[in-house]
Amino acid sequence: MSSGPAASVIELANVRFRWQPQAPVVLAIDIFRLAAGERLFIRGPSGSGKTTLLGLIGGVLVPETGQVRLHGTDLATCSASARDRLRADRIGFVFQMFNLIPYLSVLDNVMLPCRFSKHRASRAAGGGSALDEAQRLLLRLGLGQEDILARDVAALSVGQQQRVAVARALIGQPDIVIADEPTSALDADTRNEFLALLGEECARSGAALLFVSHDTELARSFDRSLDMRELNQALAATGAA
Amino acid sequence: MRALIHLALKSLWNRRFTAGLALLSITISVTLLIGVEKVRTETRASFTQTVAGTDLIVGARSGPIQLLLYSVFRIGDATANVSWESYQRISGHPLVAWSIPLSLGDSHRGYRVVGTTEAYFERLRYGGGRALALAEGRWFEDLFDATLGAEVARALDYRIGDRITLAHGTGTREVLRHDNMPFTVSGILEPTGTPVDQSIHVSLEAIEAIHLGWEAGVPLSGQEVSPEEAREQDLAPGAVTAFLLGLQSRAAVFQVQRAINAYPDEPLSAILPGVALQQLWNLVGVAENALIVVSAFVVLAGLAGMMTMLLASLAERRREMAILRSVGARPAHVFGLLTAESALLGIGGALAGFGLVYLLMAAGAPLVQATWGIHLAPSLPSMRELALLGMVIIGATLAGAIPAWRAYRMSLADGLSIRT
Repeated sequence: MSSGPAASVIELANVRFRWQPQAPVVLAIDIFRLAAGERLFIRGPSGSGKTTLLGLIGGVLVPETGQVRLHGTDLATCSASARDRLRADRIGFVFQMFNLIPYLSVLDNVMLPCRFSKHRASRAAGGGSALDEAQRLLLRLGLGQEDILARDVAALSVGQQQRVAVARALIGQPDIVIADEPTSALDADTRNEFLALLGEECARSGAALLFVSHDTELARSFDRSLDMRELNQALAATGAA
Repeated sequence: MRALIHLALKSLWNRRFTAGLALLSITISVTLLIGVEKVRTETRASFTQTVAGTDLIVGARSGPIQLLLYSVFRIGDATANVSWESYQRISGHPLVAWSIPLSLGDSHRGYRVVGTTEAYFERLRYGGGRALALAEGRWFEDLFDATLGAEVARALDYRIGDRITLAHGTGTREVLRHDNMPFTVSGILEPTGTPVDQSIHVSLEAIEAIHLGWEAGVPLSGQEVSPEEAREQDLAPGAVTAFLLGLQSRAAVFQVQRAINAYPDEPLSAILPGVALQQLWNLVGVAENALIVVSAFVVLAGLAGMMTMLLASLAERRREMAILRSVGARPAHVFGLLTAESALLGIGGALAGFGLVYLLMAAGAPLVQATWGIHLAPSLPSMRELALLGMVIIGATLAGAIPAWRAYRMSLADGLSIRT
C-alpha cells in the first residue's frame, strides 16, 4: 500500500490481456505509469484497447499475465470485491455521456461514491458533512444554483451533466480521475471551458488525471500525452489500427 | 444496505407506472389470499359464537353434523322427532339448568319458522354470553303471535302488527300453506349475527294449531280448522324436533351426554356443539384448502408479473449498472439492488393487500351479516395471516432474485463499459 516519493498511482508492467484463452491478445503493455497528480492525455481511437485498459485499471478485468498496480497494490493479489473497493476508494470516473443515474437527484448523484466507499465518505465529510462538500464542489463547477440542485438530472444540459459527473468523480478526493471521452458530446466552447475546469479541479484536489480521447487537439492542455497505438503493442503485432 | 434500499426506492419511484402495476397485482393477490383466510376464520368464529352458550344439543338419533346444522343453523331437515315425554324427562334431569325446545319444519318466504317457548328468549346466549333483546314489540304471547329475527323483518319490511301466513316445509316454493291461520308480528329482535336473525319464532302450541286437520304432512280435505276452533282444542305438543340444553355445570356434560345417548325409550343423540363444529370444519376443510391453494396461485401469478416487469427493465438499466459499478458498486450490490426492489414491492403489496382486506371487511360486513348471518368482526391479524404475509414477502424477494441474477451476470460482463 506504500507510495514512494515519486509515487505512481497507476503502474502497469508486462500486461497481456485476452478475452478468451484461445482469442488473440488485445492488450499488451510492457510499461505504463501515471504519477501522482500528473495530467496524462491518451489518444485512443475506438478499437485501440482503450476500454480494456480502463477495465484493467478499474479492476473489473484481470490481465492474463503481468501486473496492474493501483496506488501500490497489485490488483492480481486482490479478490474481486477488494478490487471493487479499491476502485471506489481511489478512482473517480467521468464517461462520455449519460453519466448520471436518472432517478437520483443532482446531489444524490454526486454523493454516490460516498455510499460505496467509506474512505471517500470520510474524506468528503472532512471538517463538515459530505453533503456540504458535494454542494461546495457543485458550486465550484458553476452548478450552485438552487434550481439546478432541485432539477431532474435528465433536465440538465449535456454540459451541466458532465460537470455533475466531475463533481461526483472528485468527491472524497480520489487519487485518480479517469475521464473517458468526456467532451465528445460537448460543443467547442463548452468543451474548452469544461477542460479547463476539469484540470483546475483535479489540481486543486491533488488527483492525477487520465484523460482518454480520440481528439489530439486536446492534448495541449496536458503534462504528457501518449498514443494508444504506440502504448498497446498488441496493435503493432497484428497490424490492426 | 441502507444505501441500496435508498437506491431501490428511488429507482422504483422512477418507474412508478410499471412498478405501480406490479404492486397492484401483488396487492390484489394478497387481498384474495388474506381475504379467504379471514373469511374462513371469521366464519368459524361466527359459528362458534352462535353455539357458545349451549352445552348439549339433543335430537333424534343422527349424525352430529346433521343435528347441529338443522337445530342451530337451520340448514337441512331432521329425519325424526323427539317425543314430548322424552323432552320433559330429560329437561327435568337434576343436572340440567335449562332447556330450549325447537319445533322446525315450517317456513315463511324462505325463512325458517321455529316453534319454541319463552326459554328461547330468556336462555339463548350468543357471542360471549349476550342474551337476545327485542328491538320493538314483545316476545310472542298469543297463540298466533310471531317474533321475527332482525334480518327477516328488514328483508321483508315487516312491522309490528303485520299479518303473515306460514307454509309447510322449508323450501322457498310454498306448495302447502297454512293460510287458514294467519299470524301477527308481535315483536322484532335486535340483530345478533347468528341464525336467530333469519328465524321466525312462534309458540310450540302454534305449530300444533296450524297442523290441526293434517295427516302425514298434508291437509286432509274437508277438515279445515279455523283459528277460533283451534283455540278450543288441546294444543299440548306431541313432539319437538330437537332441543338445546344448558347444564348446572359444564363438568357434567359427558355424564349427561352418555345418559341421553343411552336413553332407553327412544333412540336419541346428544352432541357437544363444539365437537360437532370441529367435525364440520374437518369436512369443509378440503374446500377451504382448495380456495387457499387457488389464492396462493394467484399470488404466484402476481409475483410472476413483478418478475416480468423487472426483467423487462434490465435492458434499459445496463447503463445504470455500469455507472454504479464505476462508483464502486460490486456485482453483489447490483444483485442486492434488484432484490431490494422486488422485496420492497412484496412488502408494499402485502401491507396494501392486508389493509384492503380490512377496508373491504369493514365495508362489506353489514351485507355479509344480512345475507348469510355471518358476523365479520375486524380482528387483529392471526399468526397464520402474518405467516402468509411473510411467505408473500419472501416469495417476492426470491422472484426478484432471478432478474437480479441476470443483472449480476450482465454487470460482471459489462464492467464499466456503458452500453446503450
